[in-house]
Amino acid sequence: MLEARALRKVFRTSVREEGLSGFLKSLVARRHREMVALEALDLVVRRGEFVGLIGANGAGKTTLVKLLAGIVPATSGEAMLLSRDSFHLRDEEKARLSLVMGQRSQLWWDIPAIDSFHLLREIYRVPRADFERRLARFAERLEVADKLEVQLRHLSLGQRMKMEIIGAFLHDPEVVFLDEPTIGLDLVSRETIRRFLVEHNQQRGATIILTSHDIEDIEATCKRLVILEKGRVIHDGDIVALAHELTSERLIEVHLEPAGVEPDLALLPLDEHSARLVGRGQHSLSFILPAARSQAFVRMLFERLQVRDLAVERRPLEDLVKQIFATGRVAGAGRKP
Amino acid sequence: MSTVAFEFARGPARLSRLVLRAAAWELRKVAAFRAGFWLKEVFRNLARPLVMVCVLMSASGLPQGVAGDGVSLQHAVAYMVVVALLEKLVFHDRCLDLSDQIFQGYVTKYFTMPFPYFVLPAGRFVQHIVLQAAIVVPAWTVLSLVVPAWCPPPADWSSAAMALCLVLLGSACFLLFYFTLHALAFWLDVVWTTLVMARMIALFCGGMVLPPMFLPERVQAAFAWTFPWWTVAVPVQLAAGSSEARADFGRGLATLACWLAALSILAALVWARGRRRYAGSGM
Repeated sequence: MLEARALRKVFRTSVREEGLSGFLKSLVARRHREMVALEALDLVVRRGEFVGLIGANGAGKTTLVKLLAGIVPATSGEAMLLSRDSFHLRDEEKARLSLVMGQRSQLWWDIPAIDSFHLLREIYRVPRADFERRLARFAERLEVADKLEVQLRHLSLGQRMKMEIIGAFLHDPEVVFLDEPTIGLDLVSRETIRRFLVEHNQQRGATIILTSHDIEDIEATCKRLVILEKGRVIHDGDIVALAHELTSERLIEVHLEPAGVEPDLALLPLDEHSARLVGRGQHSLSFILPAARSQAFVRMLFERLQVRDLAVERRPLEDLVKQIFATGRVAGAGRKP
Repeated sequence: MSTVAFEFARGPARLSRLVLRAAAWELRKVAAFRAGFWLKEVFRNLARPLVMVCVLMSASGLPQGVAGDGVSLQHAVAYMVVVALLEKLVFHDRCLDLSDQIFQGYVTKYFTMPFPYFVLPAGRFVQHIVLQAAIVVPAWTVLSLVVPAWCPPPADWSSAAMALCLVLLGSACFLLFYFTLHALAFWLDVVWTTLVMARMIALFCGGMVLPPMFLPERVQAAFAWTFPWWTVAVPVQLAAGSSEARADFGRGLATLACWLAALSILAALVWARGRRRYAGSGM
């Protein structure tokens, strides 16, 4: 469905030197610098997959989406979509894909969304009956049925994003790229959008590529996680394996009596419980250890420390992602290409 | 998963339908705000010719009399009034927001859609012509009945048809001209300045700033090689029943057809080159 082979993208930007002399120099001869956004990237996405794409700012995830969706050409390597070079897609292929940009509204600001939907219907040649059926269903699921005829500028951010998503799904696309669709939205809107995407993926078998900085988006929707850093894939694996990694470990937060004696951590048998200290506050300690050992570890903590409060939690996915960023790999889940 | 349950007919019928739908969409956009509609659509292109009428009337009182040399003040003013009416049909650079869309990255999504982007500017063109025609026809009729000396009606139906034909072709040239300039936003960050300067020159070449009767013949002959000349200056004379202009109609058609072809090629080239350069900003 989607394939990137040895994909490389270099952007050329002009260098603006500081000061008056720099300004004068740039008027005569401007210097340019090449920025490598993607480097030798390989990725295969099969039909029906729901792939989460994460990475720090500048990691290359949006560039990858631009290349795969055919918005910009590759510097070298191949970006294939529906068995064709992405940058040279024909109308037949374009009709089978869709793009949602969280930071750029594509519906016209001054008119109701319904008017823009009618134009989209004509562009994608959606039969009227299908259009009306889908529009009613999506609007109802996304809870904006009564907002279709309201000027877009009068809608909230969440409602506008829901309209964007309706517009993107009206032609029943086979491949959908979503670039940070929940950015800036409240919890309820996020949850509604996530549920909609998961249902659509399961019921229609659409292939969905989701980029987000919100790890909860990825956790709630994706089956596969791809992590990019500095234009390279540093992790590509099933999110279930990651979840297994998470459920097999516990995060224990201990809050100590403020008036108590300063604990001597050297006296705690951390190795014996395969635990490691991951955080230390003024009166608090955080440990990560295998779930099976948490009960004995907690007992030991109560015996040796003046514990005021204690919490045992599943390790957050965000923690694991940070670990992947730090080490470039995660044990037992995914692979580092 | 249903694959796309339709096939793309690439013929002109589909594109025409799409252009009409885009025109309806554009009409909704321009009519979204009443004040904006009146100012930007109804009164579009009226201010400058009317200011020029005032300038001519004021200058005619001077000792030298700018409207001397065989040209009556009434003739010059009537010319500017008809220019004001016909110029409303001429496509304006502010009718497009392409350069802004390129700068801001709003154009990105259209690149993933199964249609040529030019359909949207074409829809805007159709909307512009239809709306402006709906304003110009009654306005010209009323003015020619009330003040026929200052706003004469077309000499006859065939003159009016010839004038309209040239105005529409010329207006299409302006669409392509402005589209190309807007598309320079793929490279430049001074597109608005370029557009303003280009528009001023184009309007001057088309006799829309100063009546051509005040220009030397050699300058008029030079302007006759440009599309703005045939878009307004000649149609105004045609509408007035000038036999010279009628004789030049064929040359006007040929000139505009050549410009249309050349500008189409230029617009397509600039668009294709710019498209390759586009970095998808804003995503």
